[in-house]
Amino acid sequence: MEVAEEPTVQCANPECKVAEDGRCIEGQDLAVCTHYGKALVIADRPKWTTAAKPAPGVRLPGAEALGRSDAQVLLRNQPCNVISIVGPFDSGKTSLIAGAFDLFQHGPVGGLTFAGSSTLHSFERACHDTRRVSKRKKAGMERTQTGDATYFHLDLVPAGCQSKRAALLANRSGEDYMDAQSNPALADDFVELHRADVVTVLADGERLLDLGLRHQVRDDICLTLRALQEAGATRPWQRLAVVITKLDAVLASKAKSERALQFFEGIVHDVREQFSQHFIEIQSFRVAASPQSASAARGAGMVDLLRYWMSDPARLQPPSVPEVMPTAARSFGRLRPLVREGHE
Amino acid sequence: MSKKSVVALGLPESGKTTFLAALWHLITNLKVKVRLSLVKLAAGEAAYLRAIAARWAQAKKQDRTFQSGNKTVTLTLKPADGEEFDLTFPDIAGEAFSQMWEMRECTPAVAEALHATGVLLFIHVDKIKAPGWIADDAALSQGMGVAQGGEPAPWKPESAPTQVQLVDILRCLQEPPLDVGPRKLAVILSAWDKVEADEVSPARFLEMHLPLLYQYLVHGLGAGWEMRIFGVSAQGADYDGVEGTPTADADRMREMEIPSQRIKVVVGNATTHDLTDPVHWLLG
Repeated sequence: MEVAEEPTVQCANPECKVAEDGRCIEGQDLAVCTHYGKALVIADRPKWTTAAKPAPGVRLPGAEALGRSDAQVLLRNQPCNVISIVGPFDSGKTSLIAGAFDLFQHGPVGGLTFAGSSTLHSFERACHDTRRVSKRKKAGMERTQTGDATYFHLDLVPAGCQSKRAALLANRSGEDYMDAQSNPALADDFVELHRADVVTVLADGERLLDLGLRHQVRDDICLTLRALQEAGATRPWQRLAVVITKLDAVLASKAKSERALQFFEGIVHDVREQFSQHFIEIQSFRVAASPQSASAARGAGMVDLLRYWMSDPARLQPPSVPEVMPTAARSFGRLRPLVREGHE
Repeated sequence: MSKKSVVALGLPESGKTTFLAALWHLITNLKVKVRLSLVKLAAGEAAYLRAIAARWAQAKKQDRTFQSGNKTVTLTLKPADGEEFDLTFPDIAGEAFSQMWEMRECTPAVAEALHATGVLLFIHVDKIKAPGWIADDAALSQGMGVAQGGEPAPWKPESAPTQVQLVDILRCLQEPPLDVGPRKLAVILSAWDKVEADEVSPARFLEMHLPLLYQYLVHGLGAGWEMRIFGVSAQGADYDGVEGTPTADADRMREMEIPSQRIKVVVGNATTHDLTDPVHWLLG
């Protein structure tokens, strides 16, 4: 028996999938489509002529967030404070970084003056969704990519000082930090923590308003800090900042704000109780880096946090050694010097 | 004869070509006392200089389509108490500097020009793109009941504020492959006539309207760099558009008997007509 051969559905447009879904890619009736039914035309790729090749440009220094090796070069070359920002997804890590940079768009901040940055593209990209030019209805923030931490760089000059001090703000995805709770060994790879002068842990203000989620916020902070400490990722000379973010959301919710702020103070109390011996100083901050309502000013609380980040690094202070006066064997050696009118 | 060079740097439409046109008119017409005088009329790209100076004298805006490609002008100049020298002054389109910020590259010719130790940084006072925040707008519109926002736009480097772009370009001048050590930087706030009524000094204007850049100029430039801020009105007022009808401002400028007196250069509290002042300071 002879089998009738089915007609092959074909189209001259290589993008069109009419053979699979029966629909014209241009949305036309198959009867009127000028490509339908015609064989696919495969055109030769035009040969690349030398004349069409663009002239090689001179490459200039990049402006993206630094990787680990570039950050190390910067650390070797100038005084630098490393700030690691630890928090779960959407707790406001990138907002803090973008907010810190944006403060300087108006002038010096809290006695610190802007003196440069090698990561301006990344800062601007991070700030974009909070800016009018993004045309968004509400300020947003791009999600931090998973993978190794990246570093945002700011050169700052403290008031009354001529030399620059760099701030390296380490940004790592929230998932990485949360994974360390169940597997503290992962923290070995968090190199930004080993060198951090200030470890900053975030409490998401929006989640503190929710009676169910607020306990998770406390657990996330305490368990992450414990995991980092057990893994040996923190250092005793480090400062710890405990920060409630999205203060605008907290203050906007009048009925719940007092309770949320009290709960946050409870978290700070717990952190102090559990981790005081592991950090040289622990301070709490309330910030609204990029508010979505008028209940808090843009950048509220950021100035104090920035000052804390740029405090003189404790790692440079030599440990104090108690003064020991050797006891001389002879009576003459045991005579004490007389102090008279300020002169010995 | 020694050779000296300066480079005019600035984002598109920041006043670089107008400055050059007015400079050529000033040093060829000899109606105003200047610090640098022209030794001979022959100049590199003389036809280009004549063309842009002619438009300037007619109080017509420079035609950007006319400026195809970068022109490197060479002038033979002499200070009152010094020896004559050849000054090269590349007139580079602002797009080349935008490309430095956006694409992180420049052409070899622009890189070569950017090795000059004297830098004129042009900023048009009326074309400063300042940052604006959704949060601030929300606070304002809340009370007024105004809806805001639209179709979200993705980030593009060109959407960055003027001061951020300029800080980055100045940083590039201090790092390889453009680093040549300490330089002199003359910041030219062009179209100064538009903000003259504010009665602030050029330095104060920069501090108020471009605070990030001002902080960087004061604290971020490398050791040995010198910086001075000039307010420059090379036109005196708005000129006629390329194809526009004559304007009252341009007519007022055309009526002046000595076109060189349209020019105003403000440093601190002092005002002159001498447009060679910033160049003289750069080469001093």
